[in-house]
Amino acid sequence: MDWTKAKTILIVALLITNIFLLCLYFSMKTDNGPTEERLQAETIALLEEKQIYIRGNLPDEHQKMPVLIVEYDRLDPEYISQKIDEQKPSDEEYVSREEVLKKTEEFLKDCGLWNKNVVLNKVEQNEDTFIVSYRNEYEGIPIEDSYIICTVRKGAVKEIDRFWLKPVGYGKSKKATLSASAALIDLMRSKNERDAILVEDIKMVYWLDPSDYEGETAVSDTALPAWRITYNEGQIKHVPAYSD
Amino acid sequence: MGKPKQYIEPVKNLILVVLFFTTMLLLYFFWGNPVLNSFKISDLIGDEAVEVPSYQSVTQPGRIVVHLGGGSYTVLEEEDFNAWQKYIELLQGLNPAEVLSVEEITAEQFDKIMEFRSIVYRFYYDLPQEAFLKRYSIKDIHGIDQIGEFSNFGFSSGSPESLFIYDGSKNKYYRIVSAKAHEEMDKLLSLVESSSNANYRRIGDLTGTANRTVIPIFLSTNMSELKCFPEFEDLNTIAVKEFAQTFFGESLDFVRQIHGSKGTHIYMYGYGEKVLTISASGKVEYKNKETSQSSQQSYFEALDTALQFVAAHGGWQTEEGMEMSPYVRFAKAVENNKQKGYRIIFGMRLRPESLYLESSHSVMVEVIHGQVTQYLRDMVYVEEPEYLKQEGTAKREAFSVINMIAHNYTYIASVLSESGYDFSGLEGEALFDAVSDLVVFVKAGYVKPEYAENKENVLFPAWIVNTGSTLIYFDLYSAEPLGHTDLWEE
Repeated sequence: MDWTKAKTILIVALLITNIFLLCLYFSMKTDNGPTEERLQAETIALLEEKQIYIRGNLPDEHQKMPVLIVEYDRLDPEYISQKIDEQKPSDEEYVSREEVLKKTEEFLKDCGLWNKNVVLNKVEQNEDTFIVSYRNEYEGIPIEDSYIICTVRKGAVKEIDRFWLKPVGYGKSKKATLSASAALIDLMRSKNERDAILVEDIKMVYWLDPSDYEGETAVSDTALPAWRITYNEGQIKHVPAYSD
Repeated sequence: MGKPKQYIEPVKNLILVVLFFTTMLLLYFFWGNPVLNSFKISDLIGDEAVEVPSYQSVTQPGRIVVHLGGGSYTVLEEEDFNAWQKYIELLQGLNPAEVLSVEEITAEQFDKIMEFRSIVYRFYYDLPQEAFLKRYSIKDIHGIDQIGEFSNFGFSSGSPESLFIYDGSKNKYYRIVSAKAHEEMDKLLSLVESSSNANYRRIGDLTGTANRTVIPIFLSTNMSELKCFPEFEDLNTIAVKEFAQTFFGESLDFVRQIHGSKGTHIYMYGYGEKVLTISASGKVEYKNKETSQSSQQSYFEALDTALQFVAAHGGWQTEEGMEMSPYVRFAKAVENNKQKGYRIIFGMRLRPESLYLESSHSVMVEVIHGQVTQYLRDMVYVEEPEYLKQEGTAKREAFSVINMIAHNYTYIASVLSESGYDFSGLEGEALFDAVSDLVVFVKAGYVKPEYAENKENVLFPAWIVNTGSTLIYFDLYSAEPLGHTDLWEE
């Protein structure tokens, strides 16, 4: 047998096979079906057929994301009571919104509760009482159900309600997330046939459901990416953003 | 010009090898998941083989009781005289043409025939008839289908051509009558008779009641307290992480991990569809709520699934300590959302004594529609030198079983009352009789109580009292209560 010739034939055959497989692989990679924009337009049309309407535009981006490791940051009620008692109420009858915000921020800093993740959410006024709400954001992404609510009267914080998840860091790997339109499909599936839905906002957040876990008090937890869909005057639904 | 030519062949060889492996790799991406970062050599060569016990090794009678005649009994251990295997071989050898009949007999007839030299293999759970016959390759015998489940098997020299079967689910007795006598069983009885002591008696004979449960009349043993260790002592180890990975895959990066204030670690996949909880004491609980895509399994298929699952998730032995032998302690059919399956409790033997955990089990697996829906693992291990050390100690006399029951019958009644037994209106001798009547077996073993002051990780030598649904433990030498386990508590 002529081994030299046989080897040459084998090399040529394997080269052709490899080139064929590589071409096939790259053609599969480049052929990703319809574009994101087309898919979004089709989804919106489908949603409208099902009486789901969207105010504004859907977010375009949905990148690969890691999980977020968080710690439950609990307050010592006695320490907070002491700090509240230590404040000096303002002598002035009227305290402006700006002054209220300044006082609240000072108070939170004094209690060691202020950091770059504390983001003002809203301020509500009821006669002489201000309700100042802060949300938790980590590198621009809100951490759901994590808040500080301060009740301020006469320029002093009178009450504090806080449920705070302290971000410790991201998980090691990233994973693809669903698009906003895919999350709305999930909303469509769970919707009552007759009701119309007006989607007011859709935003990527980090979310965990503490009710999933019962037993001893949790010390640390893992928040996963989720789409927070706000619809029909403030109703909220979370759709897990990892695709499986 | 001749020199470059001599390199052509080696270069061709090298190119061939490279091209061959490139082809293999490309084909892998097409056939497997074509994601580059998911490629692992271990996927191609496969994981290390896991050790799975056979269904035969874990399916053993809970007790083999031999009546030597005249009310004297002895109890055989699993491996003694190869007694169970001999009975299985006898069933396998039954020729349907030589079987005259399969007929139901009364409990009285069964008891009467067992008054002769006899042997009874007692299972404390029911083996479904069809699955049992199929798995053990026992030929289809006309009329055997009337027996729903096999709970006890027996042979008596009073009717040597018959084999006896008790169906616990229907509380009915049957006999399989052959044309000729089963001489092998008679030989086995003679062998046991010549080499065993008649050291067991019926409770009824000692108390004047009808209880036919046999108990040891005397036990001298060197069983002593053993130091034991939980399988997972420190949850922040690679071993625990690797164990968790067996449930959720190589990467735990996308699994929700919760740490509790008392040290519990929880791994949660999705919306809690799959949850793995490892308590600080090392107790493991896994629940899978995902809908099964498989079909319903017979008992032995479910047993195979359970054996494989445990082998792949933690294994049947602990990483350290002496080797233990797993066996099916109890099993029962369960149903969830109209899907049927089995819950199987595995016990562990420390040659030959069994290990019991108060309010827990070494291993419990629930298999529904071919899917493991629940897995409990509470493994402790004993260092072999620690176990062997007791063999050098002087033997001590264990507390008399009947006196142990007499000392503790009110305690036993109070434990059983919690499980729904009604002893109202009974006291004194009547209560003692009622309690002793419920005793299914008493045997020596090791118990790890849930709480033991200053003796946290200690196995106590104990009398194990089984009343059917509850195991109650007493110190082997002092008869002090050591706790109890409700077998089917959720």
